[in-house]
Amino acid sequence: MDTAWSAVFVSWCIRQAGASAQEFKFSPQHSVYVHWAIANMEARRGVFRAHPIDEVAPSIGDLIQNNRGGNSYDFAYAAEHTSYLSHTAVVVETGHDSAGRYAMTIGGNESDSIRRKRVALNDDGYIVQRPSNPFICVIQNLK
Amino acid sequence: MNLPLSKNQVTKGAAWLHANFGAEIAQAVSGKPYSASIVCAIACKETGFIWIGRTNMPAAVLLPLLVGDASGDVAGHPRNAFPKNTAEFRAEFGDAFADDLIAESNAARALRGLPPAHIVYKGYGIFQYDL
Repeated sequence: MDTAWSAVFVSWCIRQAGASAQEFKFSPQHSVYVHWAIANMEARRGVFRAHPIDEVAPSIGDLIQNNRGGNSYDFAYAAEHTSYLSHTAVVVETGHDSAGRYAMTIGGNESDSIRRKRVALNDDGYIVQRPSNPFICVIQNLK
Repeated sequence: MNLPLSKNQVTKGAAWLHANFGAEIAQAVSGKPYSASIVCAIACKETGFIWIGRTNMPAAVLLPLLVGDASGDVAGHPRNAFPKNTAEFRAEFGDAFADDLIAESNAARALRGLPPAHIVYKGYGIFQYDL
């Protein structure tokens, strides 16, 4: 399948979980709802607010955005742009395993499938940044 | 409803507040019907997401950067209270004051990985007092 559908999957999940169009900016592009959620955070309003990864310890229902395709867009870029390649996935679990703290996500169009991925967290619960396809933000779900 | 901060984050935040402002908090709540814990909870609720993950920074450096609330100046979030936006503040108080506050805003934005903007923030300090 050539059409990227990961943002549609996330939008569908958020809709199924009960969010309305007033509460979430459903979009086929991750960058669109991330930009909108950064504005929410800036205004301190709304139930979906995007923060830099060193401000929010991901919890169940949050969204984690990362680069893809070898890009390295950062939070400042995301605050100013609505159209760029990226990926988000929904946090479905947090915990500890033999490698340390983690958040488990479910994302769409991951190798053209729906998959779980492990995101490493530090001792305080914040995302451990990585050099390849770095993380951009956490959209905190306050609903 | 999900809570914006975890129990661990709030515990860490309260410890930091007591370590840095314990005497001031104790004095502030003396003889009052509310406790030091309530004061800490309000601080965590208002600005904890900014400072709880950055307690490795000296409090004196961190405190001036606790400005926020861009309502009225970002898309989709109009504001009714004064100032409705930066333009209204500038018209009332002039360019020099507005530009000073914008410089403060941009220092806080830089800390948080946000690009500079021409915005006067409306919330100030660890308790986010309105402008």
